[in-house]
Amino acid sequence: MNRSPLAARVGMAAFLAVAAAFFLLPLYVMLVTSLKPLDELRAGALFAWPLAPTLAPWRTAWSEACTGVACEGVRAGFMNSLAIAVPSTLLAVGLGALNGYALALWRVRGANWLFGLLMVGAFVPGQVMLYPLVRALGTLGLVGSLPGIVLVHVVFSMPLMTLLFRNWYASLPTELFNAARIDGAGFWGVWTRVLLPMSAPMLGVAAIMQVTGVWNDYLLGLVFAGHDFAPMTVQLNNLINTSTGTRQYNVDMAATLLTSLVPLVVYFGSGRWFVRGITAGALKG
Amino acid sequence: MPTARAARSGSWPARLALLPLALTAVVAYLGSILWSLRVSFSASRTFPSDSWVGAAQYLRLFANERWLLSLQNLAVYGVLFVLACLLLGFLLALLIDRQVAGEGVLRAVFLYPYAMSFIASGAVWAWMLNPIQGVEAVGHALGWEAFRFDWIVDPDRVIYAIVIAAVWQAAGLVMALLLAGLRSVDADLWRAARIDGIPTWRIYVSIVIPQLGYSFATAAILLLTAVIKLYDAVVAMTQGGPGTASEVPAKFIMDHLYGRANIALASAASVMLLLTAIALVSPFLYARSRAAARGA
Amino acid sequence: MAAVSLQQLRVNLGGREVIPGLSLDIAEGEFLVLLGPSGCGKSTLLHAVAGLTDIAAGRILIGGDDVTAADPATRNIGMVFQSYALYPSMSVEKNLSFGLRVRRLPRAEIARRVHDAAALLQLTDLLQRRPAALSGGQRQRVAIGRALVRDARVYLFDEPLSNLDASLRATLRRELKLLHRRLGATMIYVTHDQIEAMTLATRIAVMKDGVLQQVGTPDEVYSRPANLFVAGFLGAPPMNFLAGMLATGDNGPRFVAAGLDLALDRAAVSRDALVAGRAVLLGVRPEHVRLDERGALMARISLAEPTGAHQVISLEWRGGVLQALDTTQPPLSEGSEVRCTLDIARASLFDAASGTRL
Repeated sequence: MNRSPLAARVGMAAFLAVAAAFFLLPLYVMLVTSLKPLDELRAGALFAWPLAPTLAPWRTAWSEACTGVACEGVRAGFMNSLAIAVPSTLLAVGLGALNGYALALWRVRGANWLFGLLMVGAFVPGQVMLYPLVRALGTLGLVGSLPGIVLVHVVFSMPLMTLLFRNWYASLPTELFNAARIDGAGFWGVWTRVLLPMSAPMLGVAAIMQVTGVWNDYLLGLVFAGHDFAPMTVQLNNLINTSTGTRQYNVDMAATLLTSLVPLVVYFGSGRWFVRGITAGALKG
Repeated sequence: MPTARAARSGSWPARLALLPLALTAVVAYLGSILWSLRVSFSASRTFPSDSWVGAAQYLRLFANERWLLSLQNLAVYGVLFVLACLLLGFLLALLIDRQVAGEGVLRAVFLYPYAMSFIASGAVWAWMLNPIQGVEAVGHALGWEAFRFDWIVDPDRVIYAIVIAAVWQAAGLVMALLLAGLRSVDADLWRAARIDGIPTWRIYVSIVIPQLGYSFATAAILLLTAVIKLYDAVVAMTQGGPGTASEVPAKFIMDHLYGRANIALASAASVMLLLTAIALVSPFLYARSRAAARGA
Repeated sequence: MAAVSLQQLRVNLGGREVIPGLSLDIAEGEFLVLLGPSGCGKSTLLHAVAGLTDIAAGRILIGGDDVTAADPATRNIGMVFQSYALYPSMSVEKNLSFGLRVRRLPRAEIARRVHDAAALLQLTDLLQRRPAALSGGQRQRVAIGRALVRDARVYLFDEPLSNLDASLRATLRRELKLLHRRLGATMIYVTHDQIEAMTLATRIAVMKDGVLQQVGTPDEVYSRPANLFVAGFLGAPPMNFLAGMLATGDNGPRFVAAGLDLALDRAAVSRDALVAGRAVLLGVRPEHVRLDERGALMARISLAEPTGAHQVISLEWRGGVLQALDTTQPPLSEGSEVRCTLDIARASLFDAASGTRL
């Protein structure tokens, strides 16, 4: 590629630096605020480094802060989110891989119709389906239960998971599929013995997408998880919007960081895979 | 060469495997959309009823100040959010594409907000934008007494505050999509254009950007889908306030489903939201399939 | 091993009729090559035999059994693919044994067959490697081995050598020929490469647009092409075609074209077809254009293309351009004037309107 003139390069670097600062600023503010004692949260000190750094806000956020009626911090929410995310991810990724495999490589009557409906589902605002699903799960006695919220997550993630794997399996050489068929493997044999062992990269990408998606969900957790399984996001929102007493922004920010910890670790730990998940799910329709 | 797919005999296990998907699509998606449609023509309050009131709920809906305000907010938010994300995301992608060093770090920095929940990012932006201790106070502390940055508590400007937070969160997504698009441009095209002596900016304008149609359409689809679903960030930042100044349709629906126990009106609103989603997204889906057919 | 019979086979792909009714019988132990340009339907035909493509009408018999509706798994065929299609997550050994393990053969039997196939294909040292760690030629050997261990009734090859470089292709071609000789198995082989077809086949079936143009031994197809397409498709450089008219002379039928009048008494054509006034094309292979000082045809060498062993020369004469082989030493130079004759006994005559051989 051309090397641009020096002035242009300096200009570009400056813009990127300013943009990077803008993007990093909230992370920095969250961090310093969460390390400040309450009396350092005075006006004008938003960006200041804590004079007397303390981990007390983190402790409070984790185990003492009031999230609604209870004052036990976001710890319970963390455990709930974990309990929701693990089965939701395993189930959704497994089903998505199976769906994608069946849709990409096997001819099933009505499959195109089915896939079209699924893609509509991807664009439908959750609110449209929310109440009917609440009623349906209510009838089954699943609202406010762990199986209920997991089921809802699997249902809502079906389009993305299926799309990811359909594209993945469609990108593999058809001859591989044909070779396995001639070798005598059937529908399940081809998948479990030949294709699934090759799918590790996409399984990883899909799991990253699903874990972050489920962890960051608020709406479904609010409606379907009930009080006992309220995920971390719901508890965080209760915490920051509690109207009683003075706002402890340092505790709020510690709780916010705690809530973002898992997706951020996944994000920074997975590097390019996260990007790959976004582009793989989006770029091919 | 034509590729062979399955023979007839193999499709029974495939059908069985697709059963959960079919159930999801038909029962959960189609079924609940139809259910909402039916309820929107009834007089249901707390519980669904079989009554039929025709379009009465829709008439009530469009006579409802709060709903109209929600729509207006959504329109302002949608236009600003989508344009700002596309512009900022495109600039970032372009500069990263030109920049030799630090690509990995920069990309990670611009995209990390997208990995966070709207509740979390709403919380931190609400803290930063609050006029008493936030950015405005920093301006004052630096001696700029006249500095005003109280959008989040200003009924006329609160929606802009939400736009800022949302753009911060989603611009990186556009950057990632467009960067992938830029990188997929054939390197020989660059070499050919350079040998022809075409200036860099001209290569972008005439050769590269026209090939990004598909990526732009994809980004627009994802952003518009997010616009329609806007809810979490509002709840976390303003809870619809001050007053009802930052109400949005998704929140209107939730409030009427739960707080106000008027599921018929909420269903009518959700049907309208669905229609809006279809109207907004389908042109881009169409444009994208056209772009894909052209091979762009 | 077994004979294969295709009866009135029709295949549609994406609403388009790719094969509009094709019949072909392949004898036990035969090496049949399906030859044709890309898109002629030869791979589709092979996929139909394998059961990988649904057929719209017709029947497929393997060893007398009707397998038209059978699953690929139950047809007992072995297949080698153009891209090798090795299972990337399995070692060479696992690749070879996969089909046997799926069919739950006894362990000792699997080990014996894998061992035999590996020995036959010189893969013994590579058994524990993954496909990614193999060279192109080794991968193709594994693909062939995977088909062989199955002890199938028919082996199908879908352009197996086209992803290899030229010298490797020649080596594996020879190995395949020896393999067929040793096993005596029925093989159906798809290619667009006429050298592969000529060297390997016991019979060649030339296809165009889903229709068989000619089925015969390599010599038949090359020396007595059934129509203009076959004549033009086989042979490099291609056959020369001269447009002209049949006429009657003092000593029998003649071929008359602009500046050319040839006696056809030695032509390998039945006299009944040589009706005076009929518009025909005379097909002469370059090697049958003889440089001859007493020849009637005067020409100038407009282009010489040396290939090493000989050179291909373009002869410009009044009636157009002919390609010929020049094996003289030292080779003739461009621009020189030569005389030549056409070997009528080995030439072909085609009806100008229908393109079929007289």
